[in-house]
Amino acid sequence: MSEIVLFKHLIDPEVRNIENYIKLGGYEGLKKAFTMQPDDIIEEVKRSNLRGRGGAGFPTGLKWSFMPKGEGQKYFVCNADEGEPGTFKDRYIMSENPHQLIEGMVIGGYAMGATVGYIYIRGEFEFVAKILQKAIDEAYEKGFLGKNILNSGFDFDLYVHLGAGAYVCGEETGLINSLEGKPGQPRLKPPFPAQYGVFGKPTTVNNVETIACVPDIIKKGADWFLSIGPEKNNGTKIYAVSGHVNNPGVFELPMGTPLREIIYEHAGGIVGGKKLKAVIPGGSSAPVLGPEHLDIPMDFDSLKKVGSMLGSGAIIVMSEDTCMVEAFTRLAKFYAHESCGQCTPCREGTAWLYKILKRIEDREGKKGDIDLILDICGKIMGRTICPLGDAAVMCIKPAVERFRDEFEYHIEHKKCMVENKIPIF
Amino acid sequence: MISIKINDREYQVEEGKTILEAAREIGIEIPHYCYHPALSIAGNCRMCLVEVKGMPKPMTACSTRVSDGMEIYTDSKIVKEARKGVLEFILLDHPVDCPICDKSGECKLQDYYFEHSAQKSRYEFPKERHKVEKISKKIYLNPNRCVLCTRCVRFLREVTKTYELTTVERGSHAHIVCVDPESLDNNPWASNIADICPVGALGLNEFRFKKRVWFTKKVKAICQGCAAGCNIYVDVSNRKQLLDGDDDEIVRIHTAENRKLGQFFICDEGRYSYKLYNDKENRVKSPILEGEEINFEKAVEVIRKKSNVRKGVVILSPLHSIEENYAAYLFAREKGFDVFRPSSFRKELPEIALYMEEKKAPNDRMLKLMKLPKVSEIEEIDYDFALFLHNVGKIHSKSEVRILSVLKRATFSVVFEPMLSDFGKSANLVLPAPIFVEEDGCYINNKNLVQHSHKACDYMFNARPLWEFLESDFKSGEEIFVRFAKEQLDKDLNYQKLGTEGFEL
Ligand SMILES: Cc1cc2nc3c(=O)[nH]c(=O)nc-3n(C[C@H](O)[C@H](O)[C@H](O)COP(=O)(O)O)c2cc1C
Ligand code: SF4
Ligand code: SF4
Ligand code: SF4
Ligand code: FES
Repeated sequence: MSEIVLFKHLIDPEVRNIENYIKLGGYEGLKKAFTMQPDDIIEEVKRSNLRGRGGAGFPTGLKWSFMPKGEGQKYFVCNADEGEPGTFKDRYIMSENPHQLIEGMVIGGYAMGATVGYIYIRGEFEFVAKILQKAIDEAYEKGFLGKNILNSGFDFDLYVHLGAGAYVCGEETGLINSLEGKPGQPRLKPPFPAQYGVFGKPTTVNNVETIACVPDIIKKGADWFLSIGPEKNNGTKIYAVSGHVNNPGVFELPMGTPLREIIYEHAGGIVGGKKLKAVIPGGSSAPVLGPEHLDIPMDFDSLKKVGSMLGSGAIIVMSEDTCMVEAFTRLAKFYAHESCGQCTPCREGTAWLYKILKRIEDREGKKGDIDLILDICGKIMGRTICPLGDAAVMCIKPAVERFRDEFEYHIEHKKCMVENKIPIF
Repeated sequence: MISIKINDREYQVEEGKTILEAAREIGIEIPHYCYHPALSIAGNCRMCLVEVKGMPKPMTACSTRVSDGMEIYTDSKIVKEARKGVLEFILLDHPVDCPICDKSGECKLQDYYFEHSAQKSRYEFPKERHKVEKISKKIYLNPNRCVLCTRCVRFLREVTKTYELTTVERGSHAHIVCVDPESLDNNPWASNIADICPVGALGLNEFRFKKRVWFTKKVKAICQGCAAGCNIYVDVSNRKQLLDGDDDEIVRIHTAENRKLGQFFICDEGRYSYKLYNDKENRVKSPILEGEEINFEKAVEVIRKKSNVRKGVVILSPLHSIEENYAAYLFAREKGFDVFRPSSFRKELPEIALYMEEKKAPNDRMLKLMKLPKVSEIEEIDYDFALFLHNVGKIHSKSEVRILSVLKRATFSVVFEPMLSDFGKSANLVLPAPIFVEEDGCYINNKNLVQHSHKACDYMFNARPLWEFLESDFKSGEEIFVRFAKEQLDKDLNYQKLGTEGFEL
C-alpha cells in the first residue's frame, strides 16, 4: 500500500477522536510550526510544491506569500463547499480525519498571521459539520485552538459556517460574499482576496485537501512530500471515482497514478466488463477524455498537456452504454441552474446552451445546432466575472466536439445512437 | 501622467484611471451598461470589453486600470465580436418593444444594437414574460426590458442608502424586485433610477406613454429649485411637431451631470418642479397696467415716464438670473435709486440631502456677492417708484411682507414676474417675465460656481427680458453678463468661457 497522508482513518478508524489522532503523531506538525518563523513555514510549503486541490492547482506557498505582512485582521478560510459534480473527497477528510484539517488551519493561520479561520462547508453536509464542530471543541479543550495556543503567544479561533447549497459559493469570492451573509455572487477581481477578502480584510482561501496536506509537510519536511509523485506535482491525491465502475469510491494515491490503474485496479473496472467511452478526469468542469488517454498520469501538468485538467481529481467514468447527449444535457442544466446570474454571458449563455441541448436530447434538434452551441461557447469563454462561465464551456464544448457524431445522429435520426443506454447522472 | 496607446495612437493619461474613464476623457467612447461614474464598479454587463496587448483574454474597460505603456484596442476584431456576443445575449430575452417603450430614442440597447450588432437573433425559444409593475407612486418597472446592470440597485445602496431594490434568484431567472415600495415613494431621490437605467426597464409613471423623445428639444439648464445649482436637461415639446398638439410645454426634467460640481443626480422636487412652469393659466400674458392689458411699447413708455422721479427703489431677486437682476441694478444705478435684496427662503433639507448644504434660492449668492442691503433695512418706504423682480418660487416670508408694503405705498409700482402673484396684484404695472427655459441666464450656486442655463424655447405670450422694458442699450443677455462679471467679479467672462461645467469663483 502506498503512503497514507490524508486518509489516516484507514490506519485507525477512530482517528476522528483527538486522542487517537495524537497517538498517530497528530498536532506534531503544529508543535514544530511554533518553533519556526512564520515566513519559514511559508517557505517550506513553497518548497514542497504543494498545489491547490480546489481546482486550479495554484501553488499554495506562493498564495500564502501574497498575504500582507504585519498587524491587522487577516482571515484564513477553508473551502469545504465541495460543489463540483463528481467530487466527494473533502467530506471524508472532514468526517473521518477532521483534526488534520484543523491542525492545517492553525499552522496556516500562524504562517500568515491570520487569527480567525472559517470552514465554509456546503449546506448539505450538516452531519459533517457536526463532526467537525465536535473536533473543534476537542481541539479548544486541548489548547490547540483559542488563546495562546501551546504557549506560543498565537491566538486562533476557528468557526464552521454552513452554506446554503450553491455551487457558485465554492468560487472563492462567491464564498466570501456568502460568508459575509450576502448573496453568493462572485466578486470582480482584482482586488484579490489577499488584499480585500472577508469583511474587506486580507484573506486566503484554500481547499480542505490542500490544508490537510500541511501538517505532514511541516512535520516530515518538504523533501518527504517531494518524494511522492512526479516533479512539480507532489504529494498524494484523493481521487473520487464515480460512474460506471464496479467499485466507486475515494482513493488516496500518489499524485500521477495512471488513469488506467485508478479505474481498473482501484475502482474495479467498468461495470459489466463494458468498454470505456469517456472519462471526465477532474470534476465536471474538466474537459472530457477518451479511451486513448487511459495511460495518462493523473496529475496537474500531464492532464493540462492533453487539454484537460486535474481539477478536483474527481473521475467520472462513462461506459459505451452512455448517451453523451443525455449526459452533457444534464451537466448543461447544472451550470445554467448554478449560474449566479450576475454577468451577461454566463447568465444568458448557459441557459441558452441548455435549451439547445435539451431540444437535441428531446429529438427536436435542428441542423446547425452544433455550430450554434460551439459559437455560444466561444462567446462565454474568458468573458465572465468568475470561472463558472468558463467551467460550463470546458464541460460542454469538448464533449460536443469529441462526440459530435452522436449529437449529429440525435438531430438527424431523431433517436439515440446508443441502444439500451445506462444513465450516468 | 503615464503614456498609453489606444488604437495605436499615443496619449498621456492620469495614473489610476480605468481604461473606460481614460478613454472617455480623450473622447473615445467605450460602450457600457453597468458602469456609472457615481457608482461602484460592478463589471457585470461585459459590454465594455477591450483588447489589451499581452492579455490572454479581453478585459473590462470599466474595471481595468491603465498602466504605463499599456496598448489598448477598442475596436479590434476580437472586441467587435465580443460586443456582438454580449448584445446577442442581452437581447435573447428582451421584448424589443421599442415602439411602445419610453426609452426609445435614448436607449443604450437600441443605440448599441444598431452600432455594433444589427444581426438577427438566433434564439428560437419562447421569451419569458413578466408583468409591468408600478413599484412606487413615481416609478414603474418593466422587468422584461431589464439588462440586470444593477445600476438602480447600486444607486439605492450607495447613494441614498435606502436599499429598496435588489436582484433575486439566479441564472437566467435573476431579476430586479422592489422590497419596499413605501420607502421608494418617500425617497426624495428615487426618480433618478429612471434616468440611470440604461434601457426602458425603469421609467416614471408620469412620463409613461407621454412623449416620444425625438419630439422634444433637450436643453441643458440649471435647476431653479435651490442654490445647489444642479444641472438638468429640460425637455420641451417642440413647437414644430404639431402632431403632438402642445407647444413649448416642458414635458420632463432629468439629470445632466456636472463633474466639476460632483453632481450626477437631481432631487425629485427639482425634477417635478416643471409642472409649476407649465401653468399657462396664471401666466402674465402681456403687460398689465391697472388691470388692463397693454402692449409692449405702451409699457416701455409708462416705465420711462413713471421712473423719471428722484426717490425710487429696485428690489432684486434671488429667483432671477444674473442678466435680469443686473439689468435692473444698472437701471437703478443710472437713476440713483436704492437697491435692495430680499432674504432667500430657507427650507428644511430633505432627510437625504446629497448636494445642498442649505436650501436657498438659485441665485442668492449673486446678490450676496454684490453686498446689497437686505429689504429689512429699507427705512423709508414711501417711494415714488418701485420695481420688484419676482419669479416662480419663494423668498423669505418676512421679506415678502416688507416688499408688499413697499409696493403698496409707492406712488407707482412695477412687478416683473411670469405668473400673477400677490405682488403683481398689488402693483400698478405688471411686466410679463420669461420663465428660465425661455432665456439664457447665469446663476451662482452656493459653492460659488457660475453656471449658464440655456434657452430652450421662445418667449411665451408677450414675455420679454427686463432690459427690453427698461430701454437699455444691451443687445443680448450675454452682454449684461459680461458687464456684471467685469464690474462685480473683476473677471473676464462670457458664456463660452463658462462652458458646460461653469466657472469657479
Ligand atoms: C464555480 C466554482 C466552484 C468552485 N467550487 C469549489 C469547491 O467546491 N471547493 C474548492 O475547494 N474550490 C472550489 N473552487 C475553486 C476556488 O475558487 C478556489 O480556487 C479554491 O478554493 C482555492 O483552493 P486551493 O488553492 O487550495 O485549490 C471553485 C471554483 C469555481 C469557479
Ligand atoms: S460567470 Fe456566472 S457565476 Fe460567475 S459571476 Fe458571472 S454569472 Fe455569476
Ligand atoms: S429598452 Fe431600448 S431596446 Fe428595449 S424596447 Fe426600450 S427602447 Fe427598445
Ligand atoms: S432596471 Fe434598469 S438600471 Fe436596474 S438593473 Fe435593470 S436595466 Fe439596470
Ligand atoms: S461597463 Fe464594464 S462590465 Fe459593464
